[in-house]
Amino acid sequence: MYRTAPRNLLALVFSLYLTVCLAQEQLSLSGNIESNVNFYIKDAEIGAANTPQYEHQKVGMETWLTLRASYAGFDVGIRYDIFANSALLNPTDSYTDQGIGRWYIGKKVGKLSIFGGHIYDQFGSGVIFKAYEERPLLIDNALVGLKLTYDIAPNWTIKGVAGRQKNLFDLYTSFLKGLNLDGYLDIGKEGKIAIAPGIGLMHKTLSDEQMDALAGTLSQYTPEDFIHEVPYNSMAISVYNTLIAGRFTWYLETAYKTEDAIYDPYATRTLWTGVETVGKFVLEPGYMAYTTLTYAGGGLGISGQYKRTRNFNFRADPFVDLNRGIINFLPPMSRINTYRLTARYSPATQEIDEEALQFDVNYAVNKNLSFLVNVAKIIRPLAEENRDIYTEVYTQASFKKSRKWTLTTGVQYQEYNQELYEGKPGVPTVKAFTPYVDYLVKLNQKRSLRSEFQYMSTNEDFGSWIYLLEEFSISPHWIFEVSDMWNISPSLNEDGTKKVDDLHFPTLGVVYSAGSTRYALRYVKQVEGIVCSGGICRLEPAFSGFKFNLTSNF
Amino acid sequence: MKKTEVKYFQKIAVARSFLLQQVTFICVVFVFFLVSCDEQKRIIEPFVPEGDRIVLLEEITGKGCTNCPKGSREIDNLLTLLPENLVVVSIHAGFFANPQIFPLGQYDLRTTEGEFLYNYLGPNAGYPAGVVNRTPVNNEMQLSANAWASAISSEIQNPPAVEFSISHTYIPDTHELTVTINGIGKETRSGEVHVSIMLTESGIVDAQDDFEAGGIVEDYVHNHVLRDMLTPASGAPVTGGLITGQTFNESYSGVLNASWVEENMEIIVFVSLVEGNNFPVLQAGKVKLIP
Repeated sequence: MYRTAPRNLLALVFSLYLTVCLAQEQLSLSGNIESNVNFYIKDAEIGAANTPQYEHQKVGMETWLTLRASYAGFDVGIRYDIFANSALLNPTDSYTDQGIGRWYIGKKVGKLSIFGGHIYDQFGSGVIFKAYEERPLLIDNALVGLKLTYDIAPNWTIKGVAGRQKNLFDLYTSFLKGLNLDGYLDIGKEGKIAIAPGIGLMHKTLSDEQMDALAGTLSQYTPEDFIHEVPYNSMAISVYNTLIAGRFTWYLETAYKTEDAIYDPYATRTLWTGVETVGKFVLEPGYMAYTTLTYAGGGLGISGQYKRTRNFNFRADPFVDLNRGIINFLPPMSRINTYRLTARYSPATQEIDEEALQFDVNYAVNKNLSFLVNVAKIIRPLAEENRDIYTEVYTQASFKKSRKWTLTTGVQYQEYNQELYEGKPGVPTVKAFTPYVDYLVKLNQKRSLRSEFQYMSTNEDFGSWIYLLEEFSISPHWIFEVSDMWNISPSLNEDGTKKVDDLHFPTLGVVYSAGSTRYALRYVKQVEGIVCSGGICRLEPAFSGFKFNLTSNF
Repeated sequence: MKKTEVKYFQKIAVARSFLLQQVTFICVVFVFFLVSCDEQKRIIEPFVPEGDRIVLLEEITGKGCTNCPKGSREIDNLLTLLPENLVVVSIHAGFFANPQIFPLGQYDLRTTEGEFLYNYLGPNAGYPAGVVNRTPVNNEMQLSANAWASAISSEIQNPPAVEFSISHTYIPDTHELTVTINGIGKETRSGEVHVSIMLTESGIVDAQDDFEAGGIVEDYVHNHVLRDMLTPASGAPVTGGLITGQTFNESYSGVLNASWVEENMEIIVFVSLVEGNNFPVLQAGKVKLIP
């Protein structure tokens, strides 16, 4: 079946390679590898225990090996994926499988580009279609099929895609097809005003098996929740434009999705027992509006973003949830933080009901001094419970002494609805105040030392934390790091006792880079938390052990 | 012609081209819409169970799983709708059932057989998970709660390949139980026939994390909890295989734990066909320990 197709492709790639060799033609070959190997050392005290990896497997790995070739206008590529005792699919269990994770063949014929295989692409900002890969979250929703792109005029492209979405080493059975027109037009004098409009359309047809399963579930709903008919097809359309006028850039995208049977985890459902519960399939249209206005000039950068989402769950299978089967991508509306403690609580994008605002102001006084303020607010306007779900105020100041040192410091304030985002019932909203300092000093031309200090003050969740990092670099090869995340003031129970022990989570690591190859070995103790990328999040369980990472481009 | 005029005409040409492209695209979009509007939607009919197929639902659950009570409510819902066609076993196993990780309440509801089945019926992709007749749906054995109903309704429509009756003797003083299965093949199929006998207990009052109830519920009532098995966890093989008209008779015995409440216990029996990595349940049944 599907698994046999890549074998044929492998033969095809090999044949092409032989042809090229025999013909003595110019061939361009490249590739890369990324490999993560985890050595698990049980530590029940921090919760790193009782999963197959800690109990008996002891070693787990994920590897992606990609090979690409270009010859006579053809582009071919293949990627082999290995998951062995991996916790990426389910943080409390183990996942093992391997096979061809991606293959493709592409060729440009005049104005027409033909691309077949695993497609990574998007329409606009991805609101109705984004096929992409996010390895730390095990998101790989490539569209397996055909993509045709035609340059209809300079700066104007029309694109069509069709296929089925990848589901690990299999495919979802629904069929997707879409069209996208993208363009660019100078409309002002001397190119000072320009527009980049676009329109996209994505169409989904449920397979007979999916519809049978959906009908089987809906047929057992009580009269209060019963849905009498369900369309096989649903369609999402988005219209977007970027207007560039001098120092201003305005992006606007609106999207609409026709009636689609989606699972609403907050909808009330009446059971045959008379009990009310939450979560059921609903047949609703959806919409999304997103805009961002940016000003940049004279050292000042200001941007404002607004987003409203309603019932914009668009998946390749109505029964999958979390990070699986996602056809589209809803842009996150909070700052993507990078420091350990400022990134500890990140809001996942809400598909059913979300309204969000974000402002970002940065001002560079001169090349050595700059400031940044970011404010984000996210609510669920139609929710009766958990309406205010996220607030963040983030400030940052950067000072530089040219070729000597850089000091970055600031403070973050967050209100994070942990009950909603992490599904922890009854827990209060986390209110955290986090000052931080990042100091980089260049000791000489090759050596530098970077120090981080962060303190998170909160009475909720685990309580307050301190994080310290020292990172010593010897350019261009070595980085040595030591850090500790210390639960300095654990939150308290009602009787005044500590909820958790004031534990330390140290990390010791060494990174060696040689050319485009990087080796990293770390001893890690890591507290459980949420890991997010672009508003998509997953629970990252506590970790204890060694982590080895290899990345190489060749 | 001046340079500015050339630019002007170029822009006009580009604008015309743009307009033409937009019109073309809108036409294509319109065709898509027409195709969509014209579709024949799937009519949903209320499900009315028919026939004598009894489906087995094995739920993977745990006291530390905050969404599992939602699964239990779905089980009650399904049992209300399908009282004659569904038997349920709640298997407390895996991460969320581990009292070292979730030290809730007083009982450890795990069993050796349950832990075996957690892996045997795996891989697990989240809690609560349900396995319907040990038959994968879209290559997945463990299904999320919103997919149980459809899998069950699909299985109910297949007539059973085997029929059997359950008789048992129980001696309350010694807690000795003997269960006898008398069966007959209704179809001929290759593979090894296995009989499994599970003992479940309902009405166990103990703590449970319950998201919909706002957190830990100390007096939560656990139902259909797997307590023990009289057969090996993967079932006991029946000699002779599955042949139309061929009968079989099997007896299994065991001693129940004295702390279990006999009045709340059920004997769950099912016959499965084991062939390589496939082991679908052909028919299931249940009787109360104390009628």
